[in-house]
Amino acid sequence: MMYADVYVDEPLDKVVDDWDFLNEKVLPKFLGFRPVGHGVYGMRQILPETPQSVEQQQQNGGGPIIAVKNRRHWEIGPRGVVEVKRTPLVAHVMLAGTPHHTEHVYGYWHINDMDEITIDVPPAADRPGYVVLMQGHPKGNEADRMAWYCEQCTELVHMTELVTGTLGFKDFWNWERATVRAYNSDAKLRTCWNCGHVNPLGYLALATQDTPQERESRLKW
Amino acid sequence: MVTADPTLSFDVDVTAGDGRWVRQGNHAIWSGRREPGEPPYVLHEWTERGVRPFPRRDDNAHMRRVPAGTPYHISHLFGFWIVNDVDTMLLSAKRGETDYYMLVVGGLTDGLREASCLFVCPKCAARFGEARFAELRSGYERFLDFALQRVRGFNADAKQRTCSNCGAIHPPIYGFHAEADTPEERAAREAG
Repeated sequence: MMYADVYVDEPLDKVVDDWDFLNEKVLPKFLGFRPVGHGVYGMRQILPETPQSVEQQQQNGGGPIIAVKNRRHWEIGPRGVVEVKRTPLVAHVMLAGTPHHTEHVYGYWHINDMDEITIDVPPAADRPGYVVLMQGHPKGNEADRMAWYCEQCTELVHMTELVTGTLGFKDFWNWERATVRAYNSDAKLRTCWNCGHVNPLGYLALATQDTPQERESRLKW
Repeated sequence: MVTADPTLSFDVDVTAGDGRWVRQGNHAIWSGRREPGEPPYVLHEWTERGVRPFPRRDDNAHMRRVPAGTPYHISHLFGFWIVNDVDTMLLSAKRGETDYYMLVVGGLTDGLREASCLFVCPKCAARFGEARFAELRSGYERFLDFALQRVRGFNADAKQRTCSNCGAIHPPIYGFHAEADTPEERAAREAG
């Protein structure tokens, strides 16, 4: 206790609003993506399995964006689609530009210009398990992209971009919804130019906004 | 021609807690652990009004952001103070009887360029002896080597340890890696 003589003598909760991102009063602010300082952060409660419907999800109370225990993570590189194992308390660092998709969590491939770290924090005494996401805040022309690759031949079939470096994250969820809905409503966008396969519907990270068709798709891929 | 696949991603196993830094992409990442019976690591931040400790309050996980430019010190882990040019995150979690810690420095494409080490008077909280290391791109461990040299010079010279504000003499301190401790540094680390 070398510095006990010069400690600031005030309760932390009164002077530092976000002193602990995982504090139960602070955590709800991070259920989407929240820019703070140099970073962007998100927390996702881990449910045992994907709720079958929006109503069931709302009853579970896990928040608008969920993670589920049985999810699988995929990345695309020169060797094609590879599954990436996730283990509690193992930080997974995804380097910028790597297309990645998490089954049952978001129904597209996310490609960002920032390195992204995810780590599963296991359940503790009085709190469920969470996935913690962190990345630097993009700047200038740095962007986020949503893409779909053909599930048969892995060719890129559709992609859109939001320049979050300039526009920030305030429009992220509107952009996500508009992009997914445009993709889902046009079979041409989902048809692979290379092999002709018609790919399944996408779905939002904001799972509480699923249409019945999107929820069906969420349960599949 | 020899070609290699680019790295898409990699893992840092916090439960392995080997105490080394990984510097790749836009982040420098460290993980460590404390076993039962060892005093926990405690984050301290310097403010204009004094030193603010952030102890773990319960067995839940905690995650604290240290803003860029804020001096911080983690008792029992490093005895000096660090200022980074980018935000630092400290995540701590308990599993079984062991406390696990992860430090993540960086995030920005053009960050992680420089860091400083300094000392803070335990009697009046004045900052002194600040030294800047501008070659962080060459690895976070090189900054810690630089800081260890500063720590050794500090411990060896009572003049350097004398606060210019109040005249108090700072006790000896310790570097980042416990395995490199001298007996004096080890005693300082145990005292916290």
